[in-house]
Amino acid sequence: MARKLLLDKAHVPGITTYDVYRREGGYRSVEKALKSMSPDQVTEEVKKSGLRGRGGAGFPTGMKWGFLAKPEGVPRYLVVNADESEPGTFKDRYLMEFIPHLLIEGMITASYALGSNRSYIYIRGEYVWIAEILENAIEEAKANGWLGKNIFGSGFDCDIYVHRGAGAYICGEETALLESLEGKRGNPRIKPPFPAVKGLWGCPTVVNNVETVAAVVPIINEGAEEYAKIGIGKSTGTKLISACGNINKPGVYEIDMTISVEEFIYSDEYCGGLPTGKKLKACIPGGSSVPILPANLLLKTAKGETRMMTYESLADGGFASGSMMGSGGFIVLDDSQCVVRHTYSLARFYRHESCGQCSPCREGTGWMEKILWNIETGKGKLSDIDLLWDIQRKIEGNTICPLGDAAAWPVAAAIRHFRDEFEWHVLHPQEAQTRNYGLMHYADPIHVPNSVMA
Amino acid sequence: MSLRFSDNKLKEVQQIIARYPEWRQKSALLPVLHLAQQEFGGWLSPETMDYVAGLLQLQPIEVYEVATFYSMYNLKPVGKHLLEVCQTGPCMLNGSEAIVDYIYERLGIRPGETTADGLFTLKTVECLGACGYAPMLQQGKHYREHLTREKIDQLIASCSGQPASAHH
Repeated sequence: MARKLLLDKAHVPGITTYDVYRREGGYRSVEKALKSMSPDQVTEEVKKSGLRGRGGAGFPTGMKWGFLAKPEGVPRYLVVNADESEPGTFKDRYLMEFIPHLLIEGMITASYALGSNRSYIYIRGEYVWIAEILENAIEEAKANGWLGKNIFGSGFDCDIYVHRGAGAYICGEETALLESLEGKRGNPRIKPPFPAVKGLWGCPTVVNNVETVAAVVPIINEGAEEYAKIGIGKSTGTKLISACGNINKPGVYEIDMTISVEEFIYSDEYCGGLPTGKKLKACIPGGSSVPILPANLLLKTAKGETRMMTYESLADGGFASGSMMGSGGFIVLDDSQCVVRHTYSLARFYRHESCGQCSPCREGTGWMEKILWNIETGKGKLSDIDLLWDIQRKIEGNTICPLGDAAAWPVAAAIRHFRDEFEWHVLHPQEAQTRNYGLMHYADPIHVPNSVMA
Repeated sequence: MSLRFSDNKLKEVQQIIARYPEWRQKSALLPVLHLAQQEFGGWLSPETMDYVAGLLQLQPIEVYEVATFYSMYNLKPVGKHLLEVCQTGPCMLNGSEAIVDYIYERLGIRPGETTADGLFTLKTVECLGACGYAPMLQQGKHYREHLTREKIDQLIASCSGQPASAHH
């Protein structure tokens, strides 16, 4: 049974209310930090814990906090990124809906460490009811003295506000999020300057994902060393994985990053396997923008090792034969699914969500969508596959923000691993309208060459 | 100009502005546009946007450029019940296309269209963060998840029976 640090209390009846949350040990991290630790000591603990950003990039959180500029007389801000919108990802929603005080508690402790007297939760606009849950939790925390002026005589002031977005994937990118919070279009900013120096309203700002901030609570309560004991290598602590697609038990699971991908998919504790009669064809393990892998490369690395649910193992092999942990949005495709159609759907998503600032992304995402639609509907040419490859290559790395890469990678990985499925669509346009390509060789064991003497 | 928030709503606008530091009331634009859309017929007419601009002391263009950027703001009138079906990857894997087809079968509207009686508008939208509960649609402030034909039937029946003034 995996250790749970974030969701262990999520199903205690009434845990969304302050009284129950407090009775279950809630807000201890704030007490401990404010009464016995300096802000820098809190940051130091987070550094030592090895916590990595849970939004997708996996950047060390303590280091990010350490970059925050602290000029005299200038306010600093903590902004929580709750703009969860990477297809396949619905973990933050779960945490905020079922245990909202955990986020508020983590925010107070983090705000203390960073010196933020006014912190914001930027939540995607569609999560209307969750914004209301959070506002209630904030009100309760304030009524009980955890927010406001001079919290428990510590001299530290803090208020938290919820800010709803209005439907834009791009606002999950931290500088676009800040633009949006300032009441503008969500156009990402050119970096540097980074938000740590010039963020919200030109002030030093840390933007952290919901799950990242929530993880500060167990780190402070149990200590960085205890936290870092969980997991493997640089993948410390627990991770929320939202599993979806063609599995028996879609949902949000807290894993301790010591299990294999195979166990995650087939164990009854997690995804519970695929529906009867279906076989695993492919999986996107970390949200729609990370590379899709065929079944054989998903369960084992190209070196023939068991692939684990860790940052390092999921990325083993680079983009040639690996993928990424990303945001933890785990999308499973069974053998009745069409990789071309699914890739088309993702390309349409990125075209819709491109902010339009950079030409490679604005134009390229539209071209990719159209070409994929042609291939899917039997109007494609073999040269279109090379054209797709060329377009994605020209988007990647050539845009202000990572949305360009995020749009390019799914197309690149689909062609890299499923090229024959694309070719089959082109060569058998009639047949491709009546049936899907199927599993074919995508689950066959991969030949691992013996090492060759130099 | 005839358009105006009620006194209660104006108070709410002031509370929203107070979430941000002084002189940063432009930050209130997104939440106030949500409020305006809710109050003034489910969409943002040029008149509504101009009113919001005046309220927040912004140039009208600052409001237009924001309203046209975000997908939740409707720039055309919509039916009383807006059904927004998620069509992105994970929902597609679980049959979102069949849901869109079934709504057409029941209501005769394709994405972007409104029924002749003005009761329903159908839209397809991109990922709403409900991938594990697919297929799904958003209806006002509610998520309708694990959709089936039966659930669509129920939803249409309950919307059709409601009095015309109810908002959601």
